[in-house]
Amino acid sequence: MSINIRTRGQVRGGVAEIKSLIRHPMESGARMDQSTGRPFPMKLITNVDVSVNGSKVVDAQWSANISTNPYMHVNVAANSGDEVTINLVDNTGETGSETFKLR
Amino acid sequence: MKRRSFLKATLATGAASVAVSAGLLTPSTVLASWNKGAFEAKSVNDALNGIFGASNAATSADVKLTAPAIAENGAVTPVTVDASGMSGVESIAIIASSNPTPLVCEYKFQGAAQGFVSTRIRMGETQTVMGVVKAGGKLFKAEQEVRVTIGGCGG
Repeated sequence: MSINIRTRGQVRGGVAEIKSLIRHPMESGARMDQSTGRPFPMKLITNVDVSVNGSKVVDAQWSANISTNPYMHVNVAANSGDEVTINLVDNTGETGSETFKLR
Repeated sequence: MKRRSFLKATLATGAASVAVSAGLLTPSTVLASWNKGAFEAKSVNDALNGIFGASNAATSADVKLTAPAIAENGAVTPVTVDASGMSGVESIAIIASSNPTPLVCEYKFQGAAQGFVSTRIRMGETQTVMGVVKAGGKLFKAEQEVRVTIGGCGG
């Protein structure tokens, strides 16, 4: 199963506002499950990158300090119609990828 | 004949187990680009040193940090770091100074990307949030105290 990403990209004055909402627990591995007394296993998105027309523009690393169901907004100088790809991977090796055109 | 097929079978299993262990290695290869040392650092200085190789950030008015003065829910605190007014922004890190591991995230920018990040972070208690920007090889920062009424790190 791949990680679900919802995206929106709008160009305003030559700058694309690339927003994404990702469905992911961002489990730190330190939080205790009260019913079993054991920690919930770590499940954390570690790396995210954003490309425009095939060239990488943003390369991010995340920690457990990022909220559950992460939201990310970055700005890139681009034109409407440009193709944006967001790739991400978590510590279990599960990946997510979403490609869309800027409005 | 039996000996031959036995050999064949063992060789095949051997090759298969090599393939499996190679497959098992993939997640850690992916993780290799994750700066474990910096993300597991317990102090702000160690985190900054781990990610930037330096911790002497100068306060700058060109780094704009937007965060609520009072966060009702520490589990989802919106934080924006805007350094698009600066030139040559290489990367931005967000630090929650009193969280168990202060480094929240690090963004590297290339090409057409602007020095801007907006995200939602977890905060365990009332503390100072820092936006640290690396531009032209130097570190700049902006910080703000955020009061947290309900912590966001525990269960």
